[in-house]
Amino acid sequence: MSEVKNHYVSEFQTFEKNGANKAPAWVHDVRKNALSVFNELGFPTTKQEDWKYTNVTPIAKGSFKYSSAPVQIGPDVVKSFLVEGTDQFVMTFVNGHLAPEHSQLSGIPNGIVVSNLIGAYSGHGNIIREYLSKYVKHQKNPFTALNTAFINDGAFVHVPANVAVEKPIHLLFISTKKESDQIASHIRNLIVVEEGAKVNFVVSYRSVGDHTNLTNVVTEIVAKKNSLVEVVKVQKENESAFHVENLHAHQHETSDVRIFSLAIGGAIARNDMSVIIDGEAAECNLNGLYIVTGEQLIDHHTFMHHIHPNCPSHELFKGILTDHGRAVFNGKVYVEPEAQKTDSKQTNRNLLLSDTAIVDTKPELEIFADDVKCTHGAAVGGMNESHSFYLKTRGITEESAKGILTVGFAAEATAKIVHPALRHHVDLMVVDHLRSKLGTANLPDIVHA
Amino acid sequence: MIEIKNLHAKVAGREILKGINLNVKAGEVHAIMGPNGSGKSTLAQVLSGHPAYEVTDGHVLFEGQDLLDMEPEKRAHAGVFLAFQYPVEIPGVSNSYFLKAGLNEIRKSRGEEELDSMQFLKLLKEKMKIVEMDSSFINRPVNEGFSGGEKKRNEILQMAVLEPKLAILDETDSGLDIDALKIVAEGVNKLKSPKNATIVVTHYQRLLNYIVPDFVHVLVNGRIVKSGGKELALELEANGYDFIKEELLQSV
Amino acid sequence: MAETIEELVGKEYKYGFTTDIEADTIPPGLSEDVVRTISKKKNEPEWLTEWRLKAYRAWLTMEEPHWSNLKYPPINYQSLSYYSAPKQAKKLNSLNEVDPILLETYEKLGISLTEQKRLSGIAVDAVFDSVSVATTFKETLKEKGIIFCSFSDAVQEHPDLVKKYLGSVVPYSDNFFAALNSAVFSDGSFCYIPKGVRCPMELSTYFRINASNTGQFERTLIIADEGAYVSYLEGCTAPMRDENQLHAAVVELIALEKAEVKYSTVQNWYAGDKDGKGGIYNFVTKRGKCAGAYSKISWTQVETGSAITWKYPSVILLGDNSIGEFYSVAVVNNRQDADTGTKMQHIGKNTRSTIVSKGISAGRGNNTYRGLVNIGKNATNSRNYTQCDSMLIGNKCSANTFPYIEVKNSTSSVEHEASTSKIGEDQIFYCKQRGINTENAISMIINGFAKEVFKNLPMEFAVEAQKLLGISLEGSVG
Repeated sequence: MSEVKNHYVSEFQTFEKNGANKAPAWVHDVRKNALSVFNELGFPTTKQEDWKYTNVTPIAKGSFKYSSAPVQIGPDVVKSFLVEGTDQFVMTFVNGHLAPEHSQLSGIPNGIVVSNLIGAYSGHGNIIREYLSKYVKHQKNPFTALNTAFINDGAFVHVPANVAVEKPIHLLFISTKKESDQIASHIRNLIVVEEGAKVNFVVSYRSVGDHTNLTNVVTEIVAKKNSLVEVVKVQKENESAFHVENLHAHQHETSDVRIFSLAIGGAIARNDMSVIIDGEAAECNLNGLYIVTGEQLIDHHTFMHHIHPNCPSHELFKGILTDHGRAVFNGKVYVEPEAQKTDSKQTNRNLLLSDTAIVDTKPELEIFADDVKCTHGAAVGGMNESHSFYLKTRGITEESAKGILTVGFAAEATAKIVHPALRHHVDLMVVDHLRSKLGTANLPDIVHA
Repeated sequence: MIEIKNLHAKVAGREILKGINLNVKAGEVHAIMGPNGSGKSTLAQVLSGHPAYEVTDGHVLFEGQDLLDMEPEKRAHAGVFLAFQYPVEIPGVSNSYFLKAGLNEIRKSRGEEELDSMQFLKLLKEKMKIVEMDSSFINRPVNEGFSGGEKKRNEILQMAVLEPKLAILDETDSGLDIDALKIVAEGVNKLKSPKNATIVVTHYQRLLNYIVPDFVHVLVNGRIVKSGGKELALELEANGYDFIKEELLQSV
Repeated sequence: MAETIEELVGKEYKYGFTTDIEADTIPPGLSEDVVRTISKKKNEPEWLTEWRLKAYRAWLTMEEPHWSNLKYPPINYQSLSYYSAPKQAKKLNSLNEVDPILLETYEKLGISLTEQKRLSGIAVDAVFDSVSVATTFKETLKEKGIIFCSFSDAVQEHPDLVKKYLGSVVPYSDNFFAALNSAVFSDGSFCYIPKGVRCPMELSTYFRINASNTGQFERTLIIADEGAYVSYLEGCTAPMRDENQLHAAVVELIALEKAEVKYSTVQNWYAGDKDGKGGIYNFVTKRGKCAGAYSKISWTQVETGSAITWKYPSVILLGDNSIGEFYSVAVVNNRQDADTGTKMQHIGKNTRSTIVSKGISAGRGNNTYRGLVNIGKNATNSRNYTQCDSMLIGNKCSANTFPYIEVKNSTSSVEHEASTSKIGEDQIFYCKQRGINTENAISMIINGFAKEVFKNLPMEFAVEAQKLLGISLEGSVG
């Protein structure tokens, strides 16, 4: 293990020397502190409760390097990752570096900031300093510590009070090969949505090529009073890639945050998604769909923290597994004594399509308030017999029924995405992915009620 | 068309059907009535091949073929249709895709050409008139968010599209208000022909005012205990099922 | 509503008296010598002494587990006495020889050991501190070939059975508390139901901790041979003492082919006072093995007592088509802390398990359900259904649910549902409108909440459990 740490310590020295010195001094302090935390923690092991089912040895063993120079990619590739048939603001990063040539930010109304982090220090340093690393703590999560040690670039978005951003903002992170190196991109995103503002995001993580990279992201979202934020995360890196993200949303009163995670890529993909509902009558919807095939391991750890009264939260995570796929779901709902009238629902459903796939799920509740309505449910099983019977009585074959019901199973999750174009984008990706992975070309497109 | 002989079936280890005998000929409408728990719905499910039910004795011939030996989809291909009491919801999958998939499988099994999307859409729109369904239903997910009445109408629409030889309507009247009931019944009547047959499974006589049966059978405790013409249904409505049970007791 | 709830809370633990009886208690402390002394006092064969020593050595290498949600001060294992027995004639030939003070104690607890006074249909093994003091209906059971006796007697009279099954479900190295128990267990109950025999009466053990500053470590072993059936009840109480007392029991159940064991517990150890002073630390390992095909093991527990409860009655579903069940009501009030649940290990094909857990938290109590459902790769067509409901009364308590679900094949299905709720004001209002007072309404609602579990208890126990629930929550609802 110490060898692994040494690798990152020497990487850190190189990193601080090259390129990374564009950041203000206080960032250097944050980095140094985080590095020492990482040094203390090391990579997690399966002996730790939070990593019981997810063995990150393959990540710990890889000597991923910080990539200082950008890599060129073609415009058509970028285009293929965009949301179909809708105008969108696009900010593209390649291996963690802004790629202005692939970004489309013209026409952004005055006052709205969509920038890379490095570019925003000079004009918006105060906001960054206020919120960066404020709510996401790296003391307990080694990957977050590592990310924080290597804070360099990522997206910075600031939506001023009472502004509604008309078009969705697409943050596109492309991972690609650079010579023979295995690259680590420690992406740091900060999104601050001021009082009464409205904005929709799609945040995509894609690969070009089949190399083994590490994408280690921390995304911090601050949703102020009465704001409305939707974030649709689309993670389809290649199946050799390692993807880790710690996404955190901090909600103020009467804010409405909707997060959706589509996880279909990566060899190992770990998503920590936590929400602190730190204001009365705020609402959170945290949903996701994972499709796990081949030898993939996809892990979602969610944490819904209710501090104040009258907040509803809803979680629906669905998983489709086949081949030797392995899925982990750990959802925790925590209700503080003051959080009366909390209405929280959490559901995790898994559809197993092969006998070699494995699901480990753990829906947790910790409740300290008495006047609450909290439910959670988890289910793991194969195809629903009565559903497939219904299809068969209409003449549909077993094989087609399986495909149709799998799509239907997925659609129930994607229905949770509010923005129609973003939902459609995810639907297309889901059906496309299922077609190629299930080997059945004949699958229906998704329609919603 | 269908010959049911001494049919016994159980579910979860409990025998529900205890020797059903029934013959239905083309052009006929048979009503199966009976109190709750008598086995009416089980009969419908068994004829369609629901995997949860185990046939322990007897046999069923459908146009000379051994029906019990066939998978549910093969039964559908052969022309058996079940209108479900509780139709299943399939989120994300459109009504039109679903029906087209079924119809084309059935056509394939008959050696007919599959319909392309345009042809199918045309057919579907025609059939939707029968049950007075709005064309927006075409692209809505199967039964998802449908009201009880819409679900039942959707079942009859499916029947209209798939054109079965034998339609089994399982409690199609349950949960319907009078207007929806009329529409559904008229739909069924429009689809009636000398070539097909209908089995109507129902608890109440109400539906039989609109779908007039040629024969009425009373199912009690897994057996048909009384058969008669449509007037039997009226008798049941007036006197309840108890009078049949009493008759049975007296005859023992 | 508030006043009633406050009034409800004040009730006293009615089993809190102490029995003044001369006891043979060994000095505090734990060592190989102590283990040998216990074994010698019980006149045990060499192999059992060795087994205890192996357990003791294993225990020395282990650490007390702290993964649970429980909070309690460190336990000094050297300050406890590991053996205490009421002084009486060595070998009892009949109940007439039992010290009348003991009989009186059990009478006071509502457990009559005098057979003619007993309700027919329940045979009792009474365990007082470390030893079994009396077993009733022994002869009646003997006629059927059923062995029901104290563990000590079983070691003397049925050494082969004990040797074959002891530690076969819970090995001495299983966990910290099981290892401790294996080293120092003093007595407990033993039961063997021969092939094809349906035990004609409920068998019951009544555990009573009396002596102060002692640990109670009893061991229960129940074997249902092929096609046998037994229903077993366990009750527990302890006096009110200011200091905490340690109870670390092990229960092993074995069901061979087509056998069924039903194990019911009403645990009412002293819970400590309302400020959390005193009470029993209850660290129990209970596990059953469905060793044969079509076997069934069912745990039902009503946990109302103890300051600390750490208890996960589990089932290993080894035989094909075997069935495991866990029904639990756990109530915490005042400063009680309970971390309880079950493990269902599906190994055989077509295995089924059901978990119903009802947690009620009041006062400053913490109630945690912790469960594991594991469906192995070869456990095809297996099913689990879990329902975990919590009810909170007041906002100084907590209810936690930590279910682990691990599924490794696609023909099986697992469903877990959990909910947390409170007693609805509209429910109370509805009851009041129909003329039922608040107190009765609450008791009715809580009993309704726990009904699914109670219905699995033998009749007499169910009535007792319902009363207990009322008492445990007295003064808590407001």
